[in-house]
Amino acid sequence: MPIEIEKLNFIYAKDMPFEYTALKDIDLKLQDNKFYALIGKTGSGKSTLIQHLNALLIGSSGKIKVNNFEIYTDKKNKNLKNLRKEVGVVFQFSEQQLFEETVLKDVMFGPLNFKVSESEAKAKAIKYLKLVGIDEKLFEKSPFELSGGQKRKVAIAGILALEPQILVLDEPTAGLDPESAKEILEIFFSLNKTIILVTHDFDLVYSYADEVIFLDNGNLITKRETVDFFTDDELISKYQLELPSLLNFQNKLSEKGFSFTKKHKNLKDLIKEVIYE
Amino acid sequence: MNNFTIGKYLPLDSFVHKLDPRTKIIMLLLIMGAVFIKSGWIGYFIILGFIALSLILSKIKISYVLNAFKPLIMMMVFLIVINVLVIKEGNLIFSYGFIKIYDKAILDTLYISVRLLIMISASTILTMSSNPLDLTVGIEKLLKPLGRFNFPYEDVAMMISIALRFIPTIIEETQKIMNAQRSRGVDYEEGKIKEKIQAVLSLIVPLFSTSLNMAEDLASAMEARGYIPQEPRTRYRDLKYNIKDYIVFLIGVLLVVLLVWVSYYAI
Repeated sequence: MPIEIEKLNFIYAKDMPFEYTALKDIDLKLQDNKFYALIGKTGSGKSTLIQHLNALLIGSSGKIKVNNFEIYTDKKNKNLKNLRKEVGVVFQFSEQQLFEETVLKDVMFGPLNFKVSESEAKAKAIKYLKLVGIDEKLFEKSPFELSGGQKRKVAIAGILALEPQILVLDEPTAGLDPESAKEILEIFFSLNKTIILVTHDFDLVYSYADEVIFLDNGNLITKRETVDFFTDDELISKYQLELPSLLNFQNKLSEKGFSFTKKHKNLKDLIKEVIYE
Repeated sequence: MNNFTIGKYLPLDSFVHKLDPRTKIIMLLLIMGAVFIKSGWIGYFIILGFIALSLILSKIKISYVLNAFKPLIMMMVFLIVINVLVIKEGNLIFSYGFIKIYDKAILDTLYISVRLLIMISASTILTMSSNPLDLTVGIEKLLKPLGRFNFPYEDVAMMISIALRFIPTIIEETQKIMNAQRSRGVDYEEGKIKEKIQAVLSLIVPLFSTSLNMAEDLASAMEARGYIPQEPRTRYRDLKYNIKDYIVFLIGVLLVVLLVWVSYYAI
């Protein structure tokens, strides 16, 4: 159940003096159960693009197909709810979406909207709250009493409880301490779903993503395998991208005479090769 | 809501843009007052002509001003329908079953529409041609005489400027929260009453909490930069009237005098 985007354009405030083309002729095909990283500068169109994936924004022209569900840009779309069940979006600062009286109720809110029965919604809520590491003692508390990091986790559980096939994450760990950030990413990584992660953190991209989608100024510059992307020196210097620290480290080791069989995506593997070879 | 442009400031370089905001505010008040002088169609044509002139001088495209009317069309239609049906004076010109339309009803309705048109376009020109910050400084200066009666004019002006500053931010926040809740299956357009209440709650509660947080942050930031409400503040850029402002001001007064004259002698 892949995602197919064809010649997608999006224009903000059409016919106004501040009209602005946010996406230009985007062509993109994403496969199932892969971990994609969507990167680009602020204003490059990342957030705009992901909002098209569950039809929060409808393009000005072009075609989008998600799991055989076609989003039309030229006529009214029906049953968008079915699509939104397939594509779960965790927005930036997602803790802002909390509103229910208790943590548990808030996580149940999503499934209930999609006509899941009360008891099933509760079971799902408990399952995913536990998965993100929220203690049972907090279930009956008001979400507004929690700490920032806990709120974020509850909000994420609220999306996971929808059990979408595709997870879109817009900087889900921004503003979290490194420990919680890592915990949360490990959870996403373990889910075995199609994941599209918007982030500025290249270290995360390098260790987790299968492929990198790179946007600049509304244009899709490239989509390719992560190591391939970061070892393309021409591209990296053209867009003045910073290398992931691990890759940088390995490059420096190579300069000093170490030889490697491949680029390593985590520190452990790198150390193993240095020690045992 | 992405196309929320009513009265959004358009930074252009024009005669109207360069006028002192106080002049523009007073002109708006004069026009608002002038609309209610009973000077008939001649008077309205004079005012409309004046508005057309300021539109040309402001270099704002007419389509932007017309855009400001879009959200009001429904209201105007409603108003016109009610008016035409309710007013029962003058000569009967149309009758079908219980629907009876009189000529005076149509005339009155036209008057009301033109008045609305004048007021909305005048205020749109004001906000489109003045930087919100300048506008609040203008309001503050105009309210200053009330300070003698212990009216906290500086605080009021500060509140107005903060409110104006945060309109786009709040709209953006609303949009963000709506998107987040839509992704959780909320349907803001359709649904039963119970679902609708839930949908509105899912928007209002987060919006209040973010707004309160923003207000708190802003208050801290202002205090950190030494803002004390009771103390007098100096200004980086002060407003100054120049010859253009006096001329425009004079024209405004002449306009009102002309309308009063028309109302007495021409009809």
